Amino acid sequence: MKQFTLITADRKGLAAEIADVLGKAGINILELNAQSVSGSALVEICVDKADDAMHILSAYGFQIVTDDVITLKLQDQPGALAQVTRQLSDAGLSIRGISTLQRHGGVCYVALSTDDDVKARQLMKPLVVG
Amino acid sequence: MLSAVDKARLDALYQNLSENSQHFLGYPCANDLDYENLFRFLQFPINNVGDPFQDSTYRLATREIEQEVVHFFADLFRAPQDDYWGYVTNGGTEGNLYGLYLARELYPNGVVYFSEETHYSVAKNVHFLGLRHIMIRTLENGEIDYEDLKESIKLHRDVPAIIFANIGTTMKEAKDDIRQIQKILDDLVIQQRYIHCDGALCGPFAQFLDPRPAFDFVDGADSVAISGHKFIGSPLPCGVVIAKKRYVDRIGRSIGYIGSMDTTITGSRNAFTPLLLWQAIKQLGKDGLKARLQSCQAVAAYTVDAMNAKGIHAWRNPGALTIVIPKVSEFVKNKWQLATQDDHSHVITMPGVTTAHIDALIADMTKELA
Repeated sequence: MKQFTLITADRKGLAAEIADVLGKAGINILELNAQSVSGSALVEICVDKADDAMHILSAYGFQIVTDDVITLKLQDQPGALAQVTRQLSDAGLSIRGISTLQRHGGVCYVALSTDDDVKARQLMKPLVVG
Repeated sequence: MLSAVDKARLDALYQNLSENSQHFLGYPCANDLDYENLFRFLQFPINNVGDPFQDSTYRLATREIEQEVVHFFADLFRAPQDDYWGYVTNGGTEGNLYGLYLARELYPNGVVYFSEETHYSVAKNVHFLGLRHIMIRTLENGEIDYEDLKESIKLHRDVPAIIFANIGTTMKEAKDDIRQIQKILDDLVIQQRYIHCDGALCGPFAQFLDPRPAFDFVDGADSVAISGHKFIGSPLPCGVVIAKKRYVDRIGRSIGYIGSMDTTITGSRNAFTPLLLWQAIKQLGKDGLKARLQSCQAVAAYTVDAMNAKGIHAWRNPGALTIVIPKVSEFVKNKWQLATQDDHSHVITMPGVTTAHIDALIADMTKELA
């Protein structure tokens, strides 16, 4: 597993900042794809030492997620998360955890884990990021 | 500045501990090593917060020392060279909790199997983790009953098996054979499995036992935990846990670690105990641990012979430092701090326990028999 996603507030020089942090740690970036959505940056990164990179970027203050959790993009408004949890519950899925990753510009990114992520991913397809 | 009254309390406590340490035969704690040269480190607010292998801005720490301790035990337990990780814990319970935690993350619907002679903290740990568990019978010598284990696993072949193996049970120092356990799992075609070995007492010297028990990574363990305040002789409770790195990395990617990759159980962590363990392993090394074991085994053999000669039925598992005896009186139990369970008490010949101590204990026991 060499790929993960970094979610943070978008800003000038972000890509250079990430590259600098990883470069100083001797980590080679194999691929980097960034998109800006309503003021948030989603950066998909592929490196040669993924777990080290995740530790370092997390310690630096970035939010990091992998395919081990489901990343959803929701409207940042009351009730949006409740709709998701209701849908999962109606489908017979148990939620193991939900964590807010980033809220900016009316958009909220959350990380989700259930007892059947394959089914959850399918159910939440329109909202899934990456 | 302490008041005169409080100073007097400390003096009295010191006196009490000095006296009690002379009659300390029932718990597996060595007290023969000198750590006075490390006292100077107590002036610093040292804290190995977070992962011992990751840099931190908190530099009042002993991470490099901790890493060397981890490397030493990983080597001792024949962990795969490029796939291990570990840290210095608060003790065996935390190390066991960590192993079970990794198992749960890999196999959330797994069932934990452990024997009835397993340390009481394990039932607590599986409760904390919300893990399903089944207690297995033990044989007379304290080892897990392999037949009962097989029959129990047979009834749950549709779920992963998480084996909690004892490498030195609390009362009898029995050792569960993980190669035999794996054979059971192979026979039942249980492919999803996890084996954690609790080597609290015996882990530091199991490699040097003859016959050598099957307990380390080459034998099939996925994680091993030890105590540092038992055979090794740290004066402060501590331990080490070694696990396969790929399992630990998986934890770091799970939902519970969003925002932090800190995979140790506690955030702030003792930075002094790695120093204690480091000094011990530097002074002893593998050869020293082996010599230490042989010395303790000699006292254990003496204890069994001396007790039997006086008509006290004493026995021990092959190579063990724990001598099982009939339940002693309250007086003997309290004076010598002997752990007692059901109809048995036990004496443990840790480093620092001499034949003179044993002779004095036997004298007290035979006085009551007369």
